Amino acid sequence: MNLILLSSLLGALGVICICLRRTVVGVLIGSQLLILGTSLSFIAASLGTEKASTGEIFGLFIVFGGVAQLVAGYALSARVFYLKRKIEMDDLRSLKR
Amino acid sequence: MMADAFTVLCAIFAVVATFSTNFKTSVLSLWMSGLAAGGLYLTLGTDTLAVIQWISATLVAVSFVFFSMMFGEFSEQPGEYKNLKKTAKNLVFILLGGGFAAVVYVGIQTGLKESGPTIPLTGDLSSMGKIIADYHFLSFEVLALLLFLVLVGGGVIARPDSGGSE
Repeated sequence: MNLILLSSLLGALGVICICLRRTVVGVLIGSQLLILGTSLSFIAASLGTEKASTGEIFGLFIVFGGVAQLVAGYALSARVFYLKRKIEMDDLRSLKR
Repeated sequence: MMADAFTVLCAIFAVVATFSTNFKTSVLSLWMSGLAAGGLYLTLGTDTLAVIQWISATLVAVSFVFFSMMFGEFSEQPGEYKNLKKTAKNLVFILLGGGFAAVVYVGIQTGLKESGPTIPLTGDLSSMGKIIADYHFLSFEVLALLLFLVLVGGGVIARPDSGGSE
């Protein structure tokens, strides 16, 4: 029960952080919280079932997928930073010069 | 007891990471939240996932420090939540987060009603490797391809322009 509450809380905080932050790294922090909550929710959901290890494997995959998402976010941020010398989330509409 | 302590710690640090305007505090809280989640995994018996979570949380925190310093965001961000004070429309986002939490909570509760008998997790590396090789090999290959594409694509996207006006 506590695990499900924690996973839903982490997911909610991640969504709130993504929606409200104005800096790029702040948005990425929110996405990491969301991924942490999602991974935990898979483990919590599978904990009392016959396929408990499946949730664990899915949690593992989600952690690695989160790392991939973080690298992609850094790459896009670096691209925008090279182009505009600043990163404003409100102005992120194009990757062209 | 230990699981409850890790749960409370993880929740508290996640709240601080979400709402702190000081970036150092946010990154440190995210790191501590990840470490607490790893401890929670350890108490559940998923040893391998706990170790991977600790490594991942530490590397993510270090990368946040590096890139935020590069982007000039590693300091107090006084205007980070100014929209929250200015307009009430961001209440929609908070409600969205609450709705997400409700969907996860209700969905998992509904799924657990149809579950079978409790079987403990076997989180050691050998059993996980055997399960991946036997039942999830395609998912594992897709994940490997995804990581490779991100590695190459990240380098391509983030390259500096060679023919620019500068």
